[in-house]
Amino acid sequence: MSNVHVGQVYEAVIQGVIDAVRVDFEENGVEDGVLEDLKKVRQTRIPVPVSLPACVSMRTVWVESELPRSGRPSAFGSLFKSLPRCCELTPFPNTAFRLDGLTLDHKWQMKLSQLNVAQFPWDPKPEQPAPPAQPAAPPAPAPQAAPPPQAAYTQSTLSPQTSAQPLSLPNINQPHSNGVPVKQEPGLVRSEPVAIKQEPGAGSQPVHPGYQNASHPSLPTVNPSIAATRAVQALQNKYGEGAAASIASMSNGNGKVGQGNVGQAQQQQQQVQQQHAQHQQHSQHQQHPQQQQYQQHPQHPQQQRPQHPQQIQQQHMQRPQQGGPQQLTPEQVYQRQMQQQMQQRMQLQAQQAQQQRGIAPNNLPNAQTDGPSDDCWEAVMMRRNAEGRAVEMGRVEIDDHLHAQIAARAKQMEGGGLMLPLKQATKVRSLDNRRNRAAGGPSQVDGGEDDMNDEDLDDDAINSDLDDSDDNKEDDDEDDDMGHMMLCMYDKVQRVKNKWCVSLLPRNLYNISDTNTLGYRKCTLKDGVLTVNGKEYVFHKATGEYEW
Amino acid sequence: MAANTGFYDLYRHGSLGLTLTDALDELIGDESIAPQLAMKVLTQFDRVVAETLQEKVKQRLTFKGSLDTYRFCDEVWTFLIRNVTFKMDGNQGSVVADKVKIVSCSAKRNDDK
Repeated sequence: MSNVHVGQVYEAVIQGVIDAVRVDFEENGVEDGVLEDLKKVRQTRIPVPVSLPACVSMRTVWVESELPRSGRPSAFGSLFKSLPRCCELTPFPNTAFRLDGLTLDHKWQMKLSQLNVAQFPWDPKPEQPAPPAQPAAPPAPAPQAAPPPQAAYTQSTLSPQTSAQPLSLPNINQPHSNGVPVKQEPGLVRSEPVAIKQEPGAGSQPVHPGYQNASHPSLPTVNPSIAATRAVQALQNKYGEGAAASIASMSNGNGKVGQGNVGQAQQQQQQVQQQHAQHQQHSQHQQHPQQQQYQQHPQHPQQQRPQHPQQIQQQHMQRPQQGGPQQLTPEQVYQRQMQQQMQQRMQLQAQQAQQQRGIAPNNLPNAQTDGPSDDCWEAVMMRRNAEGRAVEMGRVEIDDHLHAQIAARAKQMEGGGLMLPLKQATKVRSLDNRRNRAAGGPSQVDGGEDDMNDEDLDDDAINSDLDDSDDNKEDDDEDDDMGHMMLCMYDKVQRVKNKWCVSLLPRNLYNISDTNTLGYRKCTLKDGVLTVNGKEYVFHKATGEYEW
Repeated sequence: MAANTGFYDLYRHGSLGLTLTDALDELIGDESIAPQLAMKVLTQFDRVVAETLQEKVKQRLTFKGSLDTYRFCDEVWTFLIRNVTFKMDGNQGSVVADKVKIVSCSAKRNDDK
């Protein structure tokens, strides 16, 4: 029994497939720019003696003749692999020019040859260690072609990154998301200048990437307002609170510029405050209390615990300009916040902060893993609304809110909670998980899968152990070693009732009907591929007979 | 079992299909081609194999053995045959295997589509 035909058949299949998918390769191929690269490379290609196997020559001829057409390079580039990888795969290391041929069909052929299921046309003759198929002329294009596909791919793979930058940059979105809070508190505009001045300190600090990204975009917009900022500061330094009115007017002039940046400035300033709470405290008590108050109040507007009579006075003075009871509260809130920060700083504590964060009200986003973000603003707004309707929003809640935010920042500074005692870290995490699960959050998906796994592992499930174990074992055996297997179509599978196999099934002597139903089968198969004993055979028709 | 094109992906499990899948996997791993393209190649492969086997193969084969397991599910016959003897229609001798698995799809259904 010989399988001489197998090689030809397989080659025909390979060629047919390659021909069939060529168009697809072109459509999915590299950009036109690759064409130039290809041309360059082709000029530098190395002349090699050529004796091409059918598949290779087909591809080569096509490459050579049709490269000039703009559509071709794409397919061509896609067909070839990158050079270094090819080297590893080449079964004939001494024939360097085989590299060029490492296209899909060549890979395919090589792998087939390694299986050694038959003698293939492209295989080297036993006496010739070097395969005659070594494509010489085509090889040159291969190395050349290698870069194009990679380039094309890198473009596609890189594109997500480049696009990710704009996505991750909150600055574009911030004007929108932060616009609301800003509008609610026009007085905020003033705070921005101060924030900018203090930013250098924040910039040097390890900041969450999101913040860094945010700061970059803000720079260009911030710059225009620097002059105004300085003017405001100068006014304040000179005249203190007395200059509030003029400052307000100036800031209003800058309002449009400043509003867009207020969100960022505030966020950054929050960091700054966290990190330099002391410094700010000093400055507040000295000359710029109003400005700093403005920066912070958007987050904690409800806090009304004036600590220093002086500041109350300041609030009263500024009230007309700010034009709303809401804006008064922010100032007071700031003082409150300062106190909180002092406490926090003294207790220090990321740990406590973390715990408090766990208890934090639900309007803190559960999924917030990257520190304070735009969501914080949403939360503040919600709370403000709540306050507007019901004053019940207690100090405790507000405090918790503050704690949570500060905790987030502290966590950020200390490297994501790595320095926490394991106990507390896990405690917080479990808390979060529980909350997420209770809220039906996204983490539920994981839960579901876990359950599924459990079921899968359940031995008590209603299954037939016999069927499963036996079949699986046999199937695995067959599939794994690619051992004796026949893949084919069936024309007929019939039971032959009249053929009795008494000798083979002696026990069925007593039950003739059983013999009839079970017994002897005959099948007609066609278009098959048979793998037996490491060799492959193909057949057009096959008839088989077997007893069960 | 039948692909959109009406051809079975049965032959992907043979050596020809496995090697093709392997090669495609490598190309995908190298990011030389997109997975979707690989899937297209495989569907083309289904078609080409079926057609090639139909048109180019003339050999006939007979085999005998004892049936160990048979299964008929979704128009797919699966036989596990022991002590099989294969004979091609020449007089080139026979091949013996102690265990052969036969996976067979309906030829009629294939023709219909």
